[in-house]
Amino acid sequence: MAGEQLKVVDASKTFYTEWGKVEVLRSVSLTAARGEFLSVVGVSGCGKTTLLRIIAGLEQPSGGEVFCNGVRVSGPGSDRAVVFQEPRLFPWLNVEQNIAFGLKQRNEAARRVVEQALELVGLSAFRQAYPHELSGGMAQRVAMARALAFEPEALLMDEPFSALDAQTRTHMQSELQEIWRRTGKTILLVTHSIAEALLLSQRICIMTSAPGRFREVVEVDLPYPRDPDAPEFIRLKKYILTQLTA
Amino acid sequence: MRYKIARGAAFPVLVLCLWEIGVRLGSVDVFFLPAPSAVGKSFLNMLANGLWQASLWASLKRLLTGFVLSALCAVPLGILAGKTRNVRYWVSPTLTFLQQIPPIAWIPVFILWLGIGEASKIAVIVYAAFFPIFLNTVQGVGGVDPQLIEVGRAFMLKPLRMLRRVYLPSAALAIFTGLRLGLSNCWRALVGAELIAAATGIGALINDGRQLSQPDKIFVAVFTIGLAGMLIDFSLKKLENKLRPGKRMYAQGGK
Ligand SMILES: Nc1ncnc2c1ncn2[C@@H]1O[C@H](COP(=O)(O)OP(=O)(O)O)[C@@H](O)[C@H]1O
Ligand SMILES: [Mg+2]
Repeated sequence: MAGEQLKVVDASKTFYTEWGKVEVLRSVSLTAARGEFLSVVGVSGCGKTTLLRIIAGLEQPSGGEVFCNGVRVSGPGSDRAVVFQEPRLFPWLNVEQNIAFGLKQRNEAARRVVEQALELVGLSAFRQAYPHELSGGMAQRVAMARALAFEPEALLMDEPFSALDAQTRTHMQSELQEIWRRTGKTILLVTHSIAEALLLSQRICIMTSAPGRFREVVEVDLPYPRDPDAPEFIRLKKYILTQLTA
Repeated sequence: MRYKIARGAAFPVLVLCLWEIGVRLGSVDVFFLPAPSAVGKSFLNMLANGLWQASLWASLKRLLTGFVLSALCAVPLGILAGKTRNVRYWVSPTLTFLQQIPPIAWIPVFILWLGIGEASKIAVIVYAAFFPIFLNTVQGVGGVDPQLIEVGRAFMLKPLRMLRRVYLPSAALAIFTGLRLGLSNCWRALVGAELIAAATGIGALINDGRQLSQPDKIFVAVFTIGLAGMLIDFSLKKLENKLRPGKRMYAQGGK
């Protein structure tokens, strides 16, 4: 299918540790269409980060394959950018320089890209600030801008808002939705929050743990911006919760 | 600041006064312990005929040559060893062994190999500076936050860019500390080397003083060693502190 941006086929992962082997993922498959907002929800420790790292090319699967744009993934690529759970900014670089981190050139075009990313996350006024001067939410915005400035086709996000307070989180969620609307990027969001997944994504993969497997994919056919108090929203939330804990 | 200097200088000044009084009262033999005033006079003499400046310059020149050579070896090797755990495993016992041997102990060996000229002294300095620089570099590079390295990987940095943009900035402070410690080490080792075999330099001055039975000359040299060493360390610490606000920043970076 031409519209496939990300495709994971039967990915599995087993870690071999000093204490023995740990099967973290078993035969996980997913497909994200170009421009789609797809979420993966699952409880802590079910293997979401591992799955994301495999898609990012930071980790090799023990079995199965990952494709981006029809090309087999064997490592990190310029078609994907990761927003980690922690901002992971470089403390000796200011906001602007952090955003430009992934850029190979320092020319006019690069400057424009950084400018655009700054504007997209609303941090133009803080371009000269250093990471230690930023709040958690701002730092995570810089991390998002850094990924956007890389100009990937797909954005891979690992619980990017989980360390933020509730208010900031809500705010950032609507910002992310706006970024998605404006850039049309494919977004794969991994989260433990059902509400977050429902608020943002078009489809939700429900993941169960030990070993991590996909139970079901839920279509969320609600208009944006979504109302968390809408009956259908609440119904879906309850349904996903039962699926997660079943 | 001024108070700090006064406080730090109080004790030495007191000692000097007591010493001067002791000598004047004739309770010490000036052959063993010349009066501070005699040492001062000797210093002014040496300053006038240029011996003091020439000696200090000869020592500093060696120090810098050796130190730069050492840093040029130790930093790259430290980066290599810090980045690859295997290298660390292979060489660390050897290094621990070598570290136990004071630079002075090598002087006869170096003289045997390299002759009595400059080369053997430079070799001692290179050796003396190597370990502090190397070990601190290894520690700095080995201690780079793996999460940041992973960001570098995710953004597809090539090895050289990874080094320049991730490893070196992270390890800068540790490397600098290594350089500072290395330089102090060098200074001490250098004087030792000059004492054993040199025609010029501060160490040679001490030797001259001993051979010519001029204790005042010895004391001028000893004081010069201490003060110059202090000055070197002080200026490098100042520089290091300039970097340190960054250190606080590093620790809290991106919370
Ligand atoms: N490098 C690793 N070595 C061994 N076990 C790992 C490693 N990475 C993750 N795990 C294990 O895999 C499981 C899933 O981890 P993770 O993917 O981080 O889950 P999640 O992101 O859903 O919380 C956990 O039990 C974790 O201990
Ligand atoms: Mg995780």
